Amino acid sequence: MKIHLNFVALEVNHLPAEGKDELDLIEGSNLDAALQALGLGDDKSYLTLLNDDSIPTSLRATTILADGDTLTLFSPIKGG
Amino acid sequence: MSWQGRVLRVNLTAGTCEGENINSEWALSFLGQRGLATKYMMAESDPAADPLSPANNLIFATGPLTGTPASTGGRYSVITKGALGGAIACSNSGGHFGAELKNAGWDIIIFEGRSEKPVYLFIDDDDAQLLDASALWGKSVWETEPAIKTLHQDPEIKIASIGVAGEKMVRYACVVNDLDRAAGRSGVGAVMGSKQLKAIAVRGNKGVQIKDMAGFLAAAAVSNKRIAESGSSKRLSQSGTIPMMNVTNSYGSLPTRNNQELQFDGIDTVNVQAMKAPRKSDGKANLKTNKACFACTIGCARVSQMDPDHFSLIERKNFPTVSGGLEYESGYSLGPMVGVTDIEAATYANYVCNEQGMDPISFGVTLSAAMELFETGALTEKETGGVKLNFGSAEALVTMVDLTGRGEGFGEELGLGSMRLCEKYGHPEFSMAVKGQEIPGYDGRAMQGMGLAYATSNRGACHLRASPYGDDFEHIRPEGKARIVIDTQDETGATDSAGICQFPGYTLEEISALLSAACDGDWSPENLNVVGERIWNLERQFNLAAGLTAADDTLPERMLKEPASSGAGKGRVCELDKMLPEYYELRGWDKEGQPTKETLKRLSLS
Repeated sequence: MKIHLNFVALEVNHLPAEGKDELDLIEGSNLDAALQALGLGDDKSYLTLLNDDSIPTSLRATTILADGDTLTLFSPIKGG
Repeated sequence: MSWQGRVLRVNLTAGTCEGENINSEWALSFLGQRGLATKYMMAESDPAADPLSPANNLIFATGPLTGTPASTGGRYSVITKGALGGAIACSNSGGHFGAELKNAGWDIIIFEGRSEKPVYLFIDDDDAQLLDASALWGKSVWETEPAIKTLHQDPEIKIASIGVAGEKMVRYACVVNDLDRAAGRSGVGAVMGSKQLKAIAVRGNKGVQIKDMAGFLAAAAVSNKRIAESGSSKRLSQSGTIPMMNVTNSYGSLPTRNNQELQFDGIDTVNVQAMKAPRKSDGKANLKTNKACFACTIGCARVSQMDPDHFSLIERKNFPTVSGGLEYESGYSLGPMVGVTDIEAATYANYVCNEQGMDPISFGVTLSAAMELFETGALTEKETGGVKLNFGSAEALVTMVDLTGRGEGFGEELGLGSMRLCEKYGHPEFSMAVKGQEIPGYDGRAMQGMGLAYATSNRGACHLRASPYGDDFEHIRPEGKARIVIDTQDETGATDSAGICQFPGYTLEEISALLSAACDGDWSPENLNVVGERIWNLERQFNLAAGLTAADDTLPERMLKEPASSGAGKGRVCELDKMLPEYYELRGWDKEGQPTKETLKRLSLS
């Protein structure tokens, strides 16, 4: 299945290969697996949205992805 | 040491300037800047006074780390009763003015009364005098600063001043220093204007004494290394705060068109990518470079260059095209909040806010309220002077920022702020404000902790009085927010009182190490937490004495009753009713939001 990717305000060292906007995963993969496939591992310095839903880090391992989902990764930055 | 130990008391009614020793007992309990000045306000200024009356004192205050080599150690604050909602105001600024004031040998300046004619305060180390500012009255900040430097033949003088907006007592007028750094919020510039005080000009040559310089430099080296290596510092240096625009838009917490929407369909025209993209007209990008305040090792400030052919500049041929650029808050309030997709128009409006001394957050949010009043028919072209105040109109933004900055035409009404404007035109629910102060760029439906932070902020809606960002971007639920908001409110109370900026993300341990080497006192991390909590409760006491009640700890009706239409918070309202009772209980306050006797005794406030 294909997952659409969206990277928002991430630091350079948290970005996977440049230009990557889709990810191929096997059916039934969870969010953790997607992050592992991106080489991001268990890093908590970024947060995740699955489609429009915020997914806490504690639920990454139990959140199952579906074909066509959009995964957004972003930094929890402060404004000013 | 580290404090200069001196207070400059200026009685504007009598025209006198007198030096006195700082109350060192208060300094050891309230640290400096925000905390210490609030203590002076509570002791000497009537909280019930009209903020624009002579009875309201106005204080400029530095902290013990201001003027030291600690990274970002150049901060000062303006403390008074605010002009927007009558709550305690503490507005913090960087640049170089604060360090210069400290180097002149003063920790705090207290202004009392009201001058009969326009004056400015000139400080040359110990020498302080009030000088005639009649020739400066009616001039912008950008005219006032060079005029004073020319008059005194000294380009190194540092100046904090008001523009015409402050003179006209626009309710959200600010104090601007170094041309584009500002004590921006709560209308402290309107209070300054009410006193006919145009500017403070300072030349300082004394230096700041450090108790243990070797220990201080060692502590600074540790924190500076951590700051230099942190990802957030690098991002702030490279892009400022405006990358937040993409984050809140993705998350669905970006206030758009007066919070009727929470994601902006024109995001690509006003975000960080838009700032950095070459323009079609001249091939240059809006973002020119960054710059830093005194002793800062980050350099988050943006410097923009406008398109010289933009329509806003047609009749302003001598207007500077290069100046302080959009940050996240000004970008949000002058872009998505008013629906404008023209980044040059938003940049122009931001320039004018600096030129005339206005808070761009409050101006943009007030204009967005006026746009909703206009689109619902409560306002017509008859009131606006023929201007169509539709969301998305860059022409309306440019016209109204000019009029408001000069206090002319419908700009005079916009200068009331959104609360008074919306009440006047029969729709108080259109005002996106708390305690009279307009909201920053986060909506409390997707970011529940920020909703609680807005509702409980002692100076009205504010994004710098608590830091619930990390948890808010993970968990959209009311549980646990009260603890996070309280803990970070207390931490920022200590940070804001030390003389440093919040952006390096100083830990209390780092601040403790710096303060312990710099000056006397118990500055353990544990005690700094207590100091922060003490300051928060003192501000609360001021507000209660000013007549504010638990009923003021609320949010715009829209955040409480209208479910979010999109984003991560879709279908939700801010559940303030669930968070606030827990907040009061954890604070040690009763159900009416009053600190209990036990709480006041524990904090040595009774």
